[in-house]
Amino acid sequence: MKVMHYDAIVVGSGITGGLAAKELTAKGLKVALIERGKNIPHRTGYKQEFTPPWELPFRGEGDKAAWNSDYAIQQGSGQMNEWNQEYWVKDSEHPYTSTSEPFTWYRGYHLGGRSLMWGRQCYRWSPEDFNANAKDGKATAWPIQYDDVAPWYSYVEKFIGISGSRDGLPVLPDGEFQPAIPLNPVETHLKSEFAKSFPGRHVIIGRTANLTEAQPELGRAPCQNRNICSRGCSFGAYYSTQSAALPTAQATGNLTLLTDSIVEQLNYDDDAKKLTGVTVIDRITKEKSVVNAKIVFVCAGAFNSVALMLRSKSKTFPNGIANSSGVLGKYIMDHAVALAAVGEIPGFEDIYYEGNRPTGILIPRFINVDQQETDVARGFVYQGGAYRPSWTRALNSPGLGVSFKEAMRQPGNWRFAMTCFAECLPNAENRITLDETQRDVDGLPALKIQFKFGENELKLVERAHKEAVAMIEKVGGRVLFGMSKPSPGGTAIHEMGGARMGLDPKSSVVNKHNQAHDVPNLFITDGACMASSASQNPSLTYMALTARAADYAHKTFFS
Amino acid sequence: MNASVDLTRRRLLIGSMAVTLGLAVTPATLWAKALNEPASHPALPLLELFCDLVLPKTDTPGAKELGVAKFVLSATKHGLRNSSDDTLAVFEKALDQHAKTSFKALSKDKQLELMTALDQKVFSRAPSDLPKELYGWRQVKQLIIIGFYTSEVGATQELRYNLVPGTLKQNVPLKQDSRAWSSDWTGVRFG
Repeated sequence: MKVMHYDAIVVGSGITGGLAAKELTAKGLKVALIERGKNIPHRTGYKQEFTPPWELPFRGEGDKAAWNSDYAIQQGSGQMNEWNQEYWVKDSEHPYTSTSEPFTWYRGYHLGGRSLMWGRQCYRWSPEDFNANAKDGKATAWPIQYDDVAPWYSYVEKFIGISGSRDGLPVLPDGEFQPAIPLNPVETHLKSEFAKSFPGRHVIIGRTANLTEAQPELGRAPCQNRNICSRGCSFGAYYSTQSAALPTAQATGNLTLLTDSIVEQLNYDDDAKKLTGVTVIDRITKEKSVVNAKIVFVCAGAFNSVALMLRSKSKTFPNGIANSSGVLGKYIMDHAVALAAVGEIPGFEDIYYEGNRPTGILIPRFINVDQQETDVARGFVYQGGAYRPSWTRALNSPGLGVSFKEAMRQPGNWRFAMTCFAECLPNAENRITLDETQRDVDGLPALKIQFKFGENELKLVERAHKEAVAMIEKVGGRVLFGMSKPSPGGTAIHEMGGARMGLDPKSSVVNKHNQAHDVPNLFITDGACMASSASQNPSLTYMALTARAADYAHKTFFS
Repeated sequence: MNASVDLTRRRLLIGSMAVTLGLAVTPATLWAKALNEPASHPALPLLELFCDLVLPKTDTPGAKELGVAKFVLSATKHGLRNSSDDTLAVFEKALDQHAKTSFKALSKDKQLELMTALDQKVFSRAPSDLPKELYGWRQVKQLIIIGFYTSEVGATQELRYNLVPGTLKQNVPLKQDSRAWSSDWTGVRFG
């Protein structure tokens, strides 16, 4: 069997794996970045980026019959379309089972992972978010505080490029921002109306990893206001592994990129009590090889990182590596998400826009902020925005003929959409396990996902719906639609947990450096390490923790 | 620089490169294949009639002139908008029963009158006494709408299309003759 040697291995090339490779190569380490899927090169790999709808066989809608067979789950994401469909995993080839309520697991197995089609919203956690577990006892305390992570937030923000406004809100600390993209006139109006009627509820522009200023050193141009990011962006205007981390890592001359290479298991030496490296299956030839290294960063995406650890069994760890606690796979989370309300907003009929803004608005958490004021724990944020619907409103409108065609020629009335993302409390019953009865196309055991939102999440979403309706009605809007129950788990595509961080090796998998309690040269720095979910989009926190762990690992193992 | 013009040139370049390199499959050829429905498909005349009813010719071509009927045929074969192979046949049968004669044989005015009333019921949220087969109109009309506004003429002449705006102006006066964008996030599947 072929054996290769490096200083460090990074498993997975998505939002954290790409960054880990960039950090470790910058420190002079020889790094193998191992990606299970195919190579999608920056620019030339974005095959449908410039394709107009009339050149697609199904005009962007996709071949529904084929999707029903191959993408039964993925097509429900609301993000998959005919332009970006090759970035989504085929459910027919990579099955899993939901054993409680349906869990929709949205994935992309290719270079860059979901960094290629992510939502790009980037928010810091607040000091309160890191304190919450210790304070209300709903989960194990975080061993790190905001001040431990804040410098790493800054570090990552400067590298990836985030546009946003500095709002001075304690619940959502400001960061190192490029100039903000402005609110539109309706959002500006609502911001001031809400401030009057609902003190503490702030409308801010979404902080997004889309450049408003070029990063010439990386060949990245500012956003062109297309808002078709998930096709891949040849301008390099949004952060992805391809647009920033990979070229930076490659420029050091220290990176070896292995695509179509699945890490079958982490190899543990029972005598030396450490990892020696990993066993890799070539996805095309099915040949196995071994890659050895002094340290291993597991960044395969929360559930796949846990799956890899569960299938890495040894004499010391018969139930999965670094699992002496028995916690591995438990306490998985996803934000409880629902379109809380969308309403028609009167006025502003003579105003329209030109260009497609690559972000929306955010209303940061406003319940249980200064004190526990309700019978539910934690809180939620709203994301959304004000817009004028185009021709697609015709799909659900009565009407025929010349008058119908003429009416659709102009945009519809202004609408304001509010989607809530509610914090998800960790629960041991929500867990993933290996399903030895089902294998994926590569011969690996599938996952069983047991997940159900708890009473607190249901109450939060109900509250979010009620508040959203009240806010829209208060400004004279007419609510068109709204949900008081969360969409299935997984809908937020913020799945996390399963290898949580904590002080106590008996109740957590990694320590405050994202280092496995049981295996010192193993680091898990993606969403698997999360001990609570807060209500903000999590990727920025994963990235900050990754850069922080890389720094620690380098100092500990190579200095 | 006008981004739309530049984009068109880029596309022409890509197209000619594909020809030069002898590439067998490009999106355009795939599309041509999807359009390659038999010209004499029995459902086409009725579909063209529906196309004309929903989005007729005005100062821009209508759905019929743009060949949207063929797109609808292809779309039903592939299950778009929860349609199926027999969506058209089932709906036509129900429509004839509803009209108490062959719908196709009715005068144009009668057709419009009957379809306007039916359309109001099908697209209303209120419950109705219509047989469920008549709700097939929902799929047929939706597919006509998609086929029209995502066609090159529908997207770029009836509405406005700019794939690379380059700038963001959020306070542009909407005039009487301003057109909606077919290329904003509500105009295509989001993403």
